[in-house]
Amino acid sequence: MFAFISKTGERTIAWARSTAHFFALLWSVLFLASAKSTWPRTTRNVFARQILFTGVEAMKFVSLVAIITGLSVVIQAQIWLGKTGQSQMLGTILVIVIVREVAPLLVNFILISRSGTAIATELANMKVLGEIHLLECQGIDPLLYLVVPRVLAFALCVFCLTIWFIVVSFGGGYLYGILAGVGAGAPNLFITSVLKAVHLPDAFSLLAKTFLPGMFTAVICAMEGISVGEAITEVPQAATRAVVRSIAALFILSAIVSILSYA
Amino acid sequence: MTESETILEFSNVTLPGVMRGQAEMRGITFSLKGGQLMLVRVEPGNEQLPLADAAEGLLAPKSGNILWQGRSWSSFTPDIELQARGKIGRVFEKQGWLSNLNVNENVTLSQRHHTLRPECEIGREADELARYFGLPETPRRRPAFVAGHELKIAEWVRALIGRPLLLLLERPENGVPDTDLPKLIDAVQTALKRGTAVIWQTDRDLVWNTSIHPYEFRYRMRGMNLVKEA
Repeated sequence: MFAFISKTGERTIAWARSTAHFFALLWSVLFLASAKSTWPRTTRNVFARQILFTGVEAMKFVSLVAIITGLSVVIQAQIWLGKTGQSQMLGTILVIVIVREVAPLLVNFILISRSGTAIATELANMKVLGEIHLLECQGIDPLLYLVVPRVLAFALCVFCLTIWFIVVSFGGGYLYGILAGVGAGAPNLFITSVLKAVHLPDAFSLLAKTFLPGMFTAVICAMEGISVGEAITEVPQAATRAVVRSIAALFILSAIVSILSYA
Repeated sequence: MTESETILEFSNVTLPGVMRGQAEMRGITFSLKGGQLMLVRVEPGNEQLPLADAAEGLLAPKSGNILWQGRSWSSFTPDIELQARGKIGRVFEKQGWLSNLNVNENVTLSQRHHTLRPECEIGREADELARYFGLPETPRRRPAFVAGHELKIAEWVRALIGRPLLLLLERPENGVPDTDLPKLIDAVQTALKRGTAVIWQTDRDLVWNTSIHPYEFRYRMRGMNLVKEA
């Protein structure tokens, strides 16, 4: 009995420490990011490279997933709304399904699995190989050089790729609807119908569901990566922990934002 | 920068051997001014010392004081501490490369980070130093794809670039034939003339038996103690 209580207490304390560490790191990143001295050319280079790896290089895969999602959702919506005579609801349904939930979730998922693991693994390897020590020896703050640009670039990429995902999925779905002859309507009507369905809470929700999970994911992955010791076997463990915690944070944040935006 | 300015001072310092294979060091006392050389002969089997990390303020001593330009490392704000380390050139005993940058980017990283010098000027200095040491230029490939001998020379370039205040050379001759060493010794002599302070750890007879500079102090590791040679 005592062993159980002791174990529960230990885990709770470890969880509380880890959470406090996470928020301290997140706060440090936001604080440092706002200072001009944080952005010498080397840090700007890391930021640009991270945009390239996380954003630009992921565009093809995000586009593919967006087209498939667009085909599924837009076509289903067009068919069933057409059958029930509710075609004017198309924009609303699409905004509810794709803009509010599917696009941010899928893009976050893709980037967690693609770039989140890469950040965790890269930083963990750097730690094990002594490269973080090497930076410190040269007077380069690892937090400033490695973490801040990655976190900001990651969050920005999640937002931009989500917008891209929405555009491609709607466009792809619409074009397929025309080709398949399921009555997509005139392009301007389709666009107007979608735009009319977008309200202020949707914009708030989209911003919050992209920037927040993006930052949380990058901070979690960086924290897990840097927290490894000296053994190379800790690297895959850190990557696994980073993915699991990032996905948990993504769902929790999405639920909180949905409740705050629409409840 | 004048020769009389004390750059680094150790007062009765005891250092723990924190990294794997590092020896503990006791009773270290010395003072190093600009233009002075401290040559440390390491013992076989005990080559890795925590001296360089401690000199950079990255390793807190168990006891004693370490002063950088007259002030304790612990008294600096983080910004000043980082700037001070940016003025130190170092050849590392162990792994000294960021694997996700190419060698040229690695070599110029500190200068690009700490200074506003134009990139082309930094690159030119790096390539000139590389040519001086016998390489056509600093390699543009990642460190994993560069031969060990070239990497070691690139480490020399990185340590010397930007006229550092202090040079920490941890067996820089490791993996390099004796025939290449006179050029390194020449480069260190030039740095000393400019007012750089140098700590050179070596186990190579050629270096130990060469009189590098009039202002040089020679020490030997004997067990855990750093003993000054007469």
